[in-house]
Amino acid sequence: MTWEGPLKKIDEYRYEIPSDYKGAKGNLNMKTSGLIYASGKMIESIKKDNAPEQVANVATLLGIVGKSMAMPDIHWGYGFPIGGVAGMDAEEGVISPGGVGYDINCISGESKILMGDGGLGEIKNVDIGEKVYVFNKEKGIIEKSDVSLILEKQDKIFEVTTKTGYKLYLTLDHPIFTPYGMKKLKYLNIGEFIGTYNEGFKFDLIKKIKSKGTGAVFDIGVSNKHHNFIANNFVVSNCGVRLVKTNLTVKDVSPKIKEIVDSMFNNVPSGVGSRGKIKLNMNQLDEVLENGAGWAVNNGYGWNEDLEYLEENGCMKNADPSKVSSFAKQRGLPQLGSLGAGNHFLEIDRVDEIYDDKIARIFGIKHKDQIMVLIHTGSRGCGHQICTDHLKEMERAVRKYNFQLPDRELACAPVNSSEAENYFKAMACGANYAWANRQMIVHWVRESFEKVFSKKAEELDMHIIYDVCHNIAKLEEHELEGERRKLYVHRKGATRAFPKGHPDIPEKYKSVGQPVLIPGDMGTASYVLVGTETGMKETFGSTCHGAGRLMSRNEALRRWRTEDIKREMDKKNIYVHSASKKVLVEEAPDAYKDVNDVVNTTHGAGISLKVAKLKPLGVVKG
Amino acid sequence: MKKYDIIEHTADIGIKAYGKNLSECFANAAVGMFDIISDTKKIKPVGEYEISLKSDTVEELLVDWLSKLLTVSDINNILFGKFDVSVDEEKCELNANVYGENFDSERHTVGKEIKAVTYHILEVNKEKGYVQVLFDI
Repeated sequence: MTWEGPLKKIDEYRYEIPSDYKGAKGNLNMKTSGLIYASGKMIESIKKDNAPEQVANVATLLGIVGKSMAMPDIHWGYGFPIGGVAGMDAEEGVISPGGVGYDINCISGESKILMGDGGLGEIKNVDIGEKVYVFNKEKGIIEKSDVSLILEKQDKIFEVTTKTGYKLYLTLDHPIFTPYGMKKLKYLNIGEFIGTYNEGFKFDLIKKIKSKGTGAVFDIGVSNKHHNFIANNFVVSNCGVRLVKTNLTVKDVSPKIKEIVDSMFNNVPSGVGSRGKIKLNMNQLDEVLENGAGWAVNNGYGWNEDLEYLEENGCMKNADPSKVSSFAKQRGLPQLGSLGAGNHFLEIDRVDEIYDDKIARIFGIKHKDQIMVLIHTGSRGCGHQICTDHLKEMERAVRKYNFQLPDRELACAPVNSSEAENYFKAMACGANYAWANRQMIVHWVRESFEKVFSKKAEELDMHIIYDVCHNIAKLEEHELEGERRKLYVHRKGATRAFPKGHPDIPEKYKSVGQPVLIPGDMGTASYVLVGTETGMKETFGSTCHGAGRLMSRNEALRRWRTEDIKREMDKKNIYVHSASKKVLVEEAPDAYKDVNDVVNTTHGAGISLKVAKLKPLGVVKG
Repeated sequence: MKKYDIIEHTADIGIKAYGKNLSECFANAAVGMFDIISDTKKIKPVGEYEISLKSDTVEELLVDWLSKLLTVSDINNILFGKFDVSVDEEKCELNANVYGENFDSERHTVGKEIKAVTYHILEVNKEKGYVQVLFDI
C-alpha cells in the first residue's frame, strides 16, 4: 500500500505534510504539520509502507508541541512510526476564563472567570486553592478544578469582542479554543470562530481585536490538566546501543576474529528466549528496576566510571518497581544479562573513516583501523510485558476519557492521570532493566577480550564511549519560540542528540556535543555522529537510530538461503556467529535500507553530523 | 480446513486464523502464534495448563489470550502446541486447557521471538469466521 497524501518538499532533506491534510479516512484534524527528514532518493520507499499517515496521526494528539517529526529511517510502527519524534506539553493547564476553554497563559486581571460556585469572578481576585471551572475539551464539558498557581506580570493586553458582544482580555500568546483546536490570539483574525462560555459553551465570531496597552496579567495553573498527553505503545523496551573502544587495531584482531567472536557468543547468552547466567530473586530484580546500570556496577559488572558515559547515567530516577506487574518481573528474572534475538547483536568493528578529527579524538576514536565493540539490545521480555500491561491500561483510559483517536495504537492518557503516571514509572523500570542488561554484557565482552588477548581490559583501553537509548519518552526542557518549556519528548526509534554545552552530556564531551550511535545492518556500516544546535532547535535534540527495515522477514527468507548470506559475508570478510540460521537470512543486509543514505540525510539537514564510520569484522547474532 | 494464514509486514508479522466458531478461531490463532515461535507439530502435549480470562471486549480477549500464552511460555520456558478453547462471547470470557512441553533446543524449531501481541489490524469477525492480529517482532 503506497501512501498518497500530500508531501511538500521544503529543501533537499525536508518534506512537510501540511496540517490541513485530512487523512486517508478524511477525519484527521492535525494540530500541527508533519516533517519528514529524507532525501529525494529515500522518500519513495518511505511512502511505501504508510508510515507518513502515522506521522499525520501523531499530529492529531492533544498537547503536541512543535511538529510531528520523522527521521529518515522512518518505517511503519504501532501508532507512532518507527523513527518518530514528538514533544508533548507537560505544563499547561486548561481553564475557563469568563469565556471559555482556554489554556491559561496570560489573562488580564479584568477578565471574568467562572468560579466553582457557578458565579463569575475577576481573575485578580482568585486565590490558590479556590475552585474554578475548567473546560475539558475531550468530554466537551466544564469541570471544577483547584487553582494551584497564580503568577502576576506586566504584558500587553488585547480586547477581543465577539459578534454577540462578548469581551475577552488577553495577551497575544494566549491560546483560545477554536473549532480547530487551541490557537494563540496572535494567529487569530476577525471573522474567525472562537469558543465562548455564557451559560453554556458555544462558538462565536470575532468582531474586533483592540490593543488596551500594558497592564497586569495573570498566569493561572490548575491541578486538572486535560490537554497534556503521553502516548503509550512503544517506548518500554529502551532498546539501545553502546559503543566500547579498544587500543587494538585490525592487525591485532583479524587473525583472532573467529576466536574472539566465538568467545563472545559463548559468554553472552543469545537467541530466542535466551536466558541469563545469573540467578536473581524478586527483591534483587526490584533493585535492578530501580537502579539500572548502577545495580550492575555495584554487583561487579563493569567499572564505576562506566556510568558517567551512559545516557541518564544508566538510571531513570522516577522508576517505581511497584508499578511493574509480577508477570513482567517473572519474565525479566531469567533473561537479565542476555542479548535476545532478531536485530539485536554484538559487533566488532574497525574504524573505516573519520570525518571530524577533533571531535573523534575527544570521543576516543583515534585513527583508522582502531577496533571498537558495538552492543545493541534492550529490556527483553520484561519490557515487552510492561508494554503489554500498560497498553491495556491505556486502552481503558481511552474509553474512560472518551478520546477520539485516528489509530487504536495511539492509546494515551492525560499527563497527570494515574494511568500516565503509572506507565511512566513502569517505563522507567524497563529502561533501567535495559541499562543493567547492556552493562552486564559489556562486562562479559571485556572478559572475552581479556581471555583472547591475555591482557586486562584496562590495558586494552576498553572504556565506554557512550550508550544511547533509541526508544523512550523523557521529560525534558526545550526552548520554543523564545520560552523554556517542559515537554515529554517521545523518541520511538530515534536517538537523543544533544549539542555541545548541554548539561545532560558527560563533561568530557561538553565542548563538542553528545556522541550518537547509529547501528547499521550487519554487512554495511555503523556510524558515530554528534548532536548539533540545529537538531536542538528543530527536533528537540533528536536524530535517526539505524537503517530501518526495507522488506519483511518472510520476503528475505524467500529471496535468500543461509548459504547466500554466508557467502556474501565471507566476501566482505565479516565473520558471523548466529544462534539461528533463519535469523541470519532475515537480517540480510539487503533487507535493510542503506544506512549511508540515512546518516547522509541527517548530516545534510544538520540535525546531527558525521564523526566516524565503522565497518564490521565480526558479528554475534541472536 | 486451513487453520490460519500469515499476514506479511515489513518489520513484523501477523496471522488471520479461521474457525467455525470463536473458540476454534482463538485456538487456531494460538497455533499460528506458536508456529511463528517454533513449530507446533514438534511440540508434545507433556504438560497441561489451565487459562481463564475475562476482558472488556472480545477483541481485547483475543489480545489477552495470546499475551497470556506468550507470558506463560516466556516465564516457564515452555512451548505450547495444542489448545482446547472455549470462548463465551456474551460474557467476554475464555476458558482453555493448553498443552505443551519445555523448550528443547535439540528437538524444537527455533523461530522468531515475539515481543508482544498488538492492537493493530485487530479483528474478530464471527460472521465470516476469522480473527486477525499482528505481533511485534
